[in-house]
Amino acid sequence: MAKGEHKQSFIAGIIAENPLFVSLLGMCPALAVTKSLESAIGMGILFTIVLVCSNVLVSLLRKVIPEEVRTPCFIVIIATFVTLTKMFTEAFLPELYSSLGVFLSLLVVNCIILGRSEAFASKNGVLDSFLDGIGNGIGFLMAICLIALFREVLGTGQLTFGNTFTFIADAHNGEPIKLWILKGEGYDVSFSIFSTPAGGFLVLGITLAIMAAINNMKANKKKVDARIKAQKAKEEAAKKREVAQ
Amino acid sequence: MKIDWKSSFKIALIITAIASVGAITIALTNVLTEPIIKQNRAQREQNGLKKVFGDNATFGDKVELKEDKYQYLQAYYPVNIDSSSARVYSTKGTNAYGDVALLVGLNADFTIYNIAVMENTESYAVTLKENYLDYLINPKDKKTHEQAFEDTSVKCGATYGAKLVKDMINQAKEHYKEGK
Repeated sequence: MAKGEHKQSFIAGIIAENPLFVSLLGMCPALAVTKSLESAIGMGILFTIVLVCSNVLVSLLRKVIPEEVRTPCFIVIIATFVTLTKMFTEAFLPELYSSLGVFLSLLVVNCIILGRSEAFASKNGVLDSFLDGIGNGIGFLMAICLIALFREVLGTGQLTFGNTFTFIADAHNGEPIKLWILKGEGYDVSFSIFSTPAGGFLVLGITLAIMAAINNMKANKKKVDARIKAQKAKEEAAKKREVAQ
Repeated sequence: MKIDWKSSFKIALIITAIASVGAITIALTNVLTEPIIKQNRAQREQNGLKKVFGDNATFGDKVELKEDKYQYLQAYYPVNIDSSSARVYSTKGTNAYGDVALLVGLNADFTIYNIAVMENTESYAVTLKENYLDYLINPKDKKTHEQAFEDTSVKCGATYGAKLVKDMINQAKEHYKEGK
């Protein structure tokens, strides 16, 4: 595979084929763990680790795994990595483990991870599968962080760092760092609905609507530009004809 | 239908090999992480005990409980606070939506002293927290925890999560009353 194609494997998942905003996959964790930015960052990183590891192993074993039992084998591989990630998280980041709850275990049946194994890793080489995993992982991480940023700021009026990643609080005299944005002394313009599951749907819907509007605007601009170009070409052709006559 | 034994055997062998390697890796990782996880849990429980009774209380040795009648009770700690005795029950329950683990502090007269949430993995965790547990742990209008507990039965006693929490607390009370 050419160098440009390697780059394409990496970039595609970040924006053009973003698993959450474009393919609309992985909605369950995207809505469940985006109440706080810290949890979303944690979930995004763990998701990327599982995706990259499973992509690489599936790619390595793609010629060994029989066609008939492809999916069960992929699920066993993914489940192994999810279990390992879960154990390490519970041991070394217990607060993150508690905040993600059942949604960390549910990565076993996450359609992005299984989908990338099926659609990409089982048909491509190790390097490309690795890059595809990193690209899709970053794309998912960015998408859930964007939703979490809006939800936490609008829902609580502040951003808190140190509740989930306690090392931040430890480095800050044991207190979490709070950035007051919509809330402060004498004012509070936050809307608690954004912290609820309904708020998750709302933010996701609005984000998708904005992205669709931007895409529509781009498509319309292209059409208008093409029409203007065609019009100009016609006018020039008419002028040329007049001159010739 | 004719069974191709050779390919069937090959498939079984490959699946077994993948699953075995996965299982061995998980087992080895478990050996590495289990002591740390146990240590974290013990630390969390000690912090939880202090959350329930404060720094002035002294806690006795943990008494493990394994009785069918008290399915939600895992253990209790005898407590000495201001020269009177009390107990903290470590409770854990599971319903269709996830797990809930609480430390329930009871006074000698079997009323609730305080409660700490150790785990809430329900898929409606926020609902249980905001509608039930927050009210129970931080009672409003100068009510006691016991009064809040009575109130919450009316407030949202119909949800599965709330029922589970109520059952866990009631079992702790019953066990304490039985003088076990």
